[in-house]
Amino acid sequence: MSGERLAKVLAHLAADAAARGVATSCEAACEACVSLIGVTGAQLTLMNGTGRGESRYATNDIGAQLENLRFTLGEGPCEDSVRSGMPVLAGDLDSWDNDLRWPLYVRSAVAAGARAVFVFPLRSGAIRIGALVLHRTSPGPLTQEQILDAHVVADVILSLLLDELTMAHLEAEVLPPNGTPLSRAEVHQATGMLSVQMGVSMDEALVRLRAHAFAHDKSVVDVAREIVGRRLRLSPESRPDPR
Amino acid sequence: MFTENLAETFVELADTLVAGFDSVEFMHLLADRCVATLEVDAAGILLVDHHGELRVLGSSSDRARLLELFELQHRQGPCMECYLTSEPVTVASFTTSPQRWPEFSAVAKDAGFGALHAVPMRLREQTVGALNLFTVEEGALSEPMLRVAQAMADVATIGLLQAQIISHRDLLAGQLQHALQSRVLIEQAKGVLAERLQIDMSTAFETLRRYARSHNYYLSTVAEDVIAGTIDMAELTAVAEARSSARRPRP
Repeated sequence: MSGERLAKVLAHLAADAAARGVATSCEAACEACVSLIGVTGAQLTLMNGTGRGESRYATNDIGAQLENLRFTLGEGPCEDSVRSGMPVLAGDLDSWDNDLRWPLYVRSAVAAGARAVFVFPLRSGAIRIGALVLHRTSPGPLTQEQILDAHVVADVILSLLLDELTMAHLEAEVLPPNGTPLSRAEVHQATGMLSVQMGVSMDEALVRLRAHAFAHDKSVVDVAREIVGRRLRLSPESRPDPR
Repeated sequence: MFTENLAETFVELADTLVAGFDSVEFMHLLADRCVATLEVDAAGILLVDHHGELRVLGSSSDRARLLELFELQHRQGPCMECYLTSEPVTVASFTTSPQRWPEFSAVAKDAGFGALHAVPMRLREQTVGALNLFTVEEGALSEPMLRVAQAMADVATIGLLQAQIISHRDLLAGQLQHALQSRVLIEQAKGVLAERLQIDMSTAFETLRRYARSHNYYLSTVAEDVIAGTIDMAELTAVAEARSSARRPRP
C-alpha cells in the first residue's frame, strides 16, 4: 500500500467526519467512502461469536437490506467474501453468471435497488473480522483506482475496529483512534508468538499487543520488536492497568 | 541443436509471459516455436468454445489447407479425441488402412502430411483444448519429443490463464490481494512456529517452506494450518530440527 494513498484516504475521512461534526469512527468511514469511491451506499458486516455475522452500520436502506439478505439467505457476494477472505466484485449484479452463482440473493438485491455490489474483506492474514460492502444503483465496474482506494478504506476500518477492541480491553474511555493500519512484518510475527504465549486467537493476540503498547506508552512496532527479540513475554493473565 | 532451440524457446515464451501479451499472439508464437523445436512441419492450438467445439487459437501458418485440417476436426477427429480423452492421440500414417477418421486422413494426405500428433491442454482436472502437430514424414514422435510437446501444451494453458488474469480487472485485484494476504499469513505463522518450537524467524520460515515443498502444498495453506493448529507438529518439528542441525558446525 502506498503511503500517499493512505494519506489521501485518511485526509478524506477526517475532512468528511469534521464537516459532519463527528469523530473518526468506522461509521464515519463508511459515510465518507461513499463519496470517496463513488458508490451509492456502504455497509459494514462484522463477524460475531456465532460466525454468522451481523450488520454494524449501513449508510442507507439498500445497504441494510443487502445485509438482511445475506443473513437470511446465506449467499451472495458478501457471504462469499467473508468465507474466502477475498474481494468479490459484482459490477453487474443481474448478469447471467451472478444469477447462477447467487440465485436467491440476486433477485432480492435487484428488487431492493442494487445493481452492483463490491465487497472488500476486513482482513489481516488469519485475522478476518468482517467485510465492507459497497453498492450502486446502476451497473458498472469500479476503476482500478477505486478498487485500490476501497482496499485502503477497508484496512482503515479494520484498524479503527481494533482500536475499539483495544479500548474495551483496557476499559479505557479515551484512546485517540488513529486508523493507521500496521503492516510491519514484526507486528504479524509478534501476533503469532503472542497467540501461543497467551493461548488466544490471532485477533485477540493483536488486540493484546496494541493494548500493551498503549498502556506502556510505546509504539506497537516497538512492542512487537521486543516480543520477537524475546525480551518481552505476555502471559495469559497479564492485563495492563488502564490509564 | 535441439537443446539450444528448446532453451531459446522457453526464454522467449517466459519473456512474453512476464511482459504481458495478447493471447492470440502468444498462441501463434507458441505454434511457431513448436515447429522449430519439435521438428514438426505444422502446429496449431485448438481450444474448445462454450458450444463444445474446437476452435483454432493459433497456428504456425495461415495456409488454407492447414486451417482446413484444423477446422475439419471441430466435432470429430484425432484432436477432438485427444480433447475428450485428455490423452495424446497419434495417427502415425494416413495411408495404412483402416483409418479411424477416413475423411480427415484423405484431406491430410492431400495436403502433403504423413502423420499427426495431438497433445491435450490440461488445467488440473479440466482439459481446455489440444495442441496439434503435423509432420510430412510418417511415424510417431519419440518419447522425449512427446514430453516436450506436452510441456509446450502446458505453457499454452498457462499463457491462456495469464491473459485472462491480466485482462480481467476483478481477477487482477483478487490476485494481488491474495498475494498480499498470503504474505501476512506467513508472517503470523512464522510467529506461531517460532514460539511453539522456540526457533528463530528464519528457521521458522525455512521449516514452513520445506514442509510445503515436501508435501506439494502452497506455502499459504501450510501457514493457515499452522495458525489453525491442524498441522502435524511432530513432523514439522522434525523438519525444523533437520534444518537447525544442518546449520550447526560439525565437531
